[in-house]
Amino acid sequence: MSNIISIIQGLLVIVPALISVAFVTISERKVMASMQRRVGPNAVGYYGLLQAFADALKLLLKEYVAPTQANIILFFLGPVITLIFALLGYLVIPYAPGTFISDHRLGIFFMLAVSAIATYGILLAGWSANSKYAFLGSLRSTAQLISYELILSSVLLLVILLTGSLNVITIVESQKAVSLLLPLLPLFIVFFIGSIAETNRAPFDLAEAESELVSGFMTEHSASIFVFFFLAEYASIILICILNSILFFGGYLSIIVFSIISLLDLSREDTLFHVLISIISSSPINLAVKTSILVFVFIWVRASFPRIRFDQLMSVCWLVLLPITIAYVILLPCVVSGLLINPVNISLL
Amino acid sequence: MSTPQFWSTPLRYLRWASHERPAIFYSLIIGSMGPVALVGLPPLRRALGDVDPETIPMSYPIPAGPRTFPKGYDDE
Repeated sequence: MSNIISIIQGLLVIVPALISVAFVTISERKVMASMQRRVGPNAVGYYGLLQAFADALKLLLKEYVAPTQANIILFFLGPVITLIFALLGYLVIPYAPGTFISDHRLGIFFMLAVSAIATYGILLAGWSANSKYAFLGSLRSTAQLISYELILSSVLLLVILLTGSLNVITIVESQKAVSLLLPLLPLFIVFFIGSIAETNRAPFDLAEAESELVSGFMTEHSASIFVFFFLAEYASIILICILNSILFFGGYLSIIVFSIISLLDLSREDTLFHVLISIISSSPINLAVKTSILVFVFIWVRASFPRIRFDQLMSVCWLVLLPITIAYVILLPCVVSGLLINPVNISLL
Repeated sequence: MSTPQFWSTPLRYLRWASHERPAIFYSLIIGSMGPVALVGLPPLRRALGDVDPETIPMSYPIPAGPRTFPKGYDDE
């Protein structure tokens, strides 16, 4: 019985995640179309809303072609690994108080670990395809992901320092008074740039630079296994936007509503209005709104910036973002120690 | 014009570095503010009226007087 409940819980998270992937793709195409003065997809369904499902159906019905001399097992295993590990990150996300699949004590480390393993899927898929384009794309992608993971994990260290916990729920609850965006604004900018690079998005999409590498590590993948890569890419975009909103914007908490409650001193009242306010102040809608805004910024960045060269990509990481991050890794613990600041969650331990 | 050297013309070098290598230059400044904050902030904190917290006791207090040893078992 508990196994069935676990499966249902998993489906309750994974199915909406995959549906949201479909709608993120359609919103990306619509937003980019409007930024480029085009109409965008508008034929399938009202306002083109069902375009993603039509695309998925087309891809699933296509014949797949595997190159000769390709390592077939790894060729199929690569996209599967990428998708599974992109979806595993959703396990530790708190959507509202008490609404999560796993309240893992080391939730943040878990997310970092599964996102690191997803790199192997790309490497395996690119190598096994027996194509120079795919191989070069996978090498680029792996180098990029490993480099930018360093930035993300360094910034995470500082969030952990201020909140005093590796648990995602504790990190969210620590931001009831003030979101971590305020003390860590420069690091949020660094983290957001790192997030864009970590998800292989424009302007850092060197791994699939069409002008050089056809389609990068997924050049030889077609039909249903291409769908796996596609789903993994957008699932990881949504996941990293959720992570951004959890780390810096308070996740499911609404800072504005909390401010109103504390300003008007409403917390002691027990009327229905105040109960409603307390529900709104920590509801999944807050997380959804914050994540949607960040996804929009991802699309906005893609529509605005040209693709940079690979050497520029690497020097941005190692010569710009990493020195800034290391400077804050030195500065913040000194300030915390000098001012005797306790971790925010000292009462939640 | 050649790149200025730090040891011969430090001010010119710093100006050059702030223009040509801003990320590394300002990172060094921000990073070096860390040890300064570590040394400078506690006196400033005390000067503004903050009091150091009591040290957390690491052991139980030693009881005064002779120790009484139990005779037999308590639940007998």
